[in-house]
Amino acid sequence: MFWLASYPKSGSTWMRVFLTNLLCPDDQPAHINKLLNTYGANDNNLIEHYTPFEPSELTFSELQEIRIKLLASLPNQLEAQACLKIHQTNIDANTGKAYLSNIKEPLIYVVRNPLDVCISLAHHQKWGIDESIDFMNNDKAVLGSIDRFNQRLSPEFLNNWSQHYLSWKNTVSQMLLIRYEDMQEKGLETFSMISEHLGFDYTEGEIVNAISKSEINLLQKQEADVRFKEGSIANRNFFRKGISGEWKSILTSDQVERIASKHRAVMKELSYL
Amino acid sequence: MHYYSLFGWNVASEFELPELFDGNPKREIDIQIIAKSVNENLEGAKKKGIGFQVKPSHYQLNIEGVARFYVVKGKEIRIDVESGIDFKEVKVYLFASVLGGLCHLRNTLPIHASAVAFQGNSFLFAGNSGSGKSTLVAALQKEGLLALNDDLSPIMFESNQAVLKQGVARMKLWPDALSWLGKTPNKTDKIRTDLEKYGHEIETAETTKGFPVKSMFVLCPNIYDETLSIKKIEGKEKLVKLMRQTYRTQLIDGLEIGQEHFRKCALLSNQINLYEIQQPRTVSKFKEQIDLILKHMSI
Repeated sequence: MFWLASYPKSGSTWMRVFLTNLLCPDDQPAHINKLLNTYGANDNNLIEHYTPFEPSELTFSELQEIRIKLLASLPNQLEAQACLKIHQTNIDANTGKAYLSNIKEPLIYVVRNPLDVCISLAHHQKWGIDESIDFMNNDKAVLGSIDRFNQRLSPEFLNNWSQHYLSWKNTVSQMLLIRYEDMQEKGLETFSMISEHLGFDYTEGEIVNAISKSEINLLQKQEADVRFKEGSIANRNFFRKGISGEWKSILTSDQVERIASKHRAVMKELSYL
Repeated sequence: MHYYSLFGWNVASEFELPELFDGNPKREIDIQIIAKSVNENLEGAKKKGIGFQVKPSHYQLNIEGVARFYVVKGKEIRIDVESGIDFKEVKVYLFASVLGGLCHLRNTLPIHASAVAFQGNSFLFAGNSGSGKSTLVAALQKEGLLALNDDLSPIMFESNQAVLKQGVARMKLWPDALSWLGKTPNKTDKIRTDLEKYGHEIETAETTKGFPVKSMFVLCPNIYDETLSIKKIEGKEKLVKLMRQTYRTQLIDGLEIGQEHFRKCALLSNQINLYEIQQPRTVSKFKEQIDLILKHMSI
């Protein structure tokens, strides 16, 4: 199994589409609702299935504590070809310690230009752009609410966008960092690195084939026919545009500055500035 | 000592548990709930998980900062409460996982489901956390049906006939479910101080009667669109889906009851109707869902 960590709306689903096309090749492109076995770290079914706790009767901090204990022990209980997808930050802001300090399995961290993330996040959550920026700049950002009627998914603590990235980079030594933009612009090279990091020895032809079956227009076509089961309640279109640099025509200079001033160091490190 | 009825069993408890129905002090005691020290580790445990330890006939749950619970042979529940803790916190675990373990040990088939009785039979509503099991039973109670259980429904086999009995006299609801029922959340009814979930009474006691199980409805979120639909599950799929509704499945291998569990599920599968309800992810079609269920309960 492997870990797939990312800030929301950064391309981890596209990565799973590619891996499904690579690992489970078929004549047809993989279907968006039949991706490789994925366990969402915030899925309450995991807590119900593996622990004696009732998620809806726990406070956020208790839920968090139990989930972390579960995630630490879960890799031993999952099948070999499984993906454990996590959006949560990996550092506890109160203690400064890593939630998951002893990850032994391969971990991929997908990162995307925060200027584009804020647009995608706004669409996904049906927020305005400024609300989306507030969220990404918030050191206490939590995605989801503990008071919701439907508790299928637990809320996840994300911290701000920069700290999210740093929390994983600084705590998992074997982390493979993948930029969303590289998946688009240097597909073969990037996806080959991913394949290798996960211990596979697929040929160049097999990787090219998997990339071509994972193109965004194919995913959009599928989504036009049937809703993506992992999509949000708020928005029917999960696979929106899948392009980089959209921010240039959407964000105002003030909005760009609000993001850049908060995240300048990390954006420079990742060549986004 | 306090005397209560729980799933038809006679309980003697050192703790006052007003959430349970009254019992009969003159009847033979089936289960004792006592305050007693519990060691951190269960000796000879076959399986240890997050918070729990099991071996055949024994189940232990350690909740740090709250209590340790030890269920012995399905006849005794020892509770070692941390000093200074609000007993409300203890009851959150007692009425969920601890009872779940007890039901496994008492040879029932505990289902993660709420239940009602209608025309002499019982009907279960299963589903994951957040699927609306409790809300549904509260709404059906408002329609005049007898509410039996919330969240945990242990099926007993009397001469191989699957029956359900009433358990805890309280269901647990979120504020929006309460307001749907026309109730105002009352702070004193909170099941936990720091959680917006409220106790809601099961209004009618019918604690001695066993209600033959007629149908189970599995509530699933409709992930594709906003329509409400129902499907009867049959064939091999029926047994598989039914087994998945078992409460606290993680205890089964450590208790070494896997074969017996399978046998009970197969027995149940042969006796009941199993339906899957695809619910829209919004609550707007809730009334429609109640009508759909009532229609299928009468089939």
